[in-house]
Amino acid sequence: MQINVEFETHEARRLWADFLKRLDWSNRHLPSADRSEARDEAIAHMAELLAASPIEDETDKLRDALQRFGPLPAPPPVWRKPLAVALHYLAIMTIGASGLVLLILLHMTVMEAFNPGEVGLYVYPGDGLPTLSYETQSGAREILGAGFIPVMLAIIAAGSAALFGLWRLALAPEGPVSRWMKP
Amino acid sequence: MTDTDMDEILERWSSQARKGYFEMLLLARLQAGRAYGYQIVASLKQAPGFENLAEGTVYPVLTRMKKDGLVTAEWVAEETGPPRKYYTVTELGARTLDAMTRIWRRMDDVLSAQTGQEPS
Repeated sequence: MQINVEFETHEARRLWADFLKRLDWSNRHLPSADRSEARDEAIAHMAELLAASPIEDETDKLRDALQRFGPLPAPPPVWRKPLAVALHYLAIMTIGASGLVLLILLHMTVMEAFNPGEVGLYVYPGDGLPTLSYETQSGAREILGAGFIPVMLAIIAAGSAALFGLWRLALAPEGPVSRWMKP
Repeated sequence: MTDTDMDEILERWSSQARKGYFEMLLLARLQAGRAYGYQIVASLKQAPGFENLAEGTVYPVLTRMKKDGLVTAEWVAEETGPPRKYYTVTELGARTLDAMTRIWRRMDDVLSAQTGQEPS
């Protein structure tokens, strides 16, 4: 027998899916048929609770029913979502490595103020790519010049904003990846 | 000892006592007639000490009782609403309830004899 309860709001659907996941995880030691039976019985009970509830708001009604049903079983461990863990890890690595680069740029910006003749963005002879350096070399052509500090500050600001965005997206507790990771 | 200490001791003790009593209470409820989970919970919550019963805790006990052969269970489709799983006491369940009740009464008698009070 397959019983289910439908919800309209995203939050109610999320709570419901979380409840079922916890329920199945707590019954994982049972044979498949028994686990399915326990799930159906819990759903049937929750359906009765929801139908009898005087609360109008769907999410509040579900929260109340869940509370009456009893303490939520422990969630499955987070490693059960390897993709979410990988995304988290990738975000941590990106933020860490990029943050270091931004710190170096900040240091160069400060040093440019003290040593404008040496620190800068150069194109070395025979090399087409611009290179950041703390000291110039003979024949190197400095680009940006006096614009070095504002340009670097703008890059640092944009980079910090991007990293903050990545943190909000992937690492912040209320961000989508963290919410998705919640078992 | 403060009243809070005593409350904690009583809470712990009554929780243990309820666990032992619970299966007998379920059998007694089902002896009165077959019932489905939600219905059983609703009537149990009328009993003193069970007002705040976590409703989901009934099902593992019912499942164990079913495995022990004390009750049988059968899903029944409803015209409106979800299907309901009705539990019925078996003959073994009825005899077990009788035996449990006797044990319970005997414990009451022993307690009464110790305290010099009439059995409740």
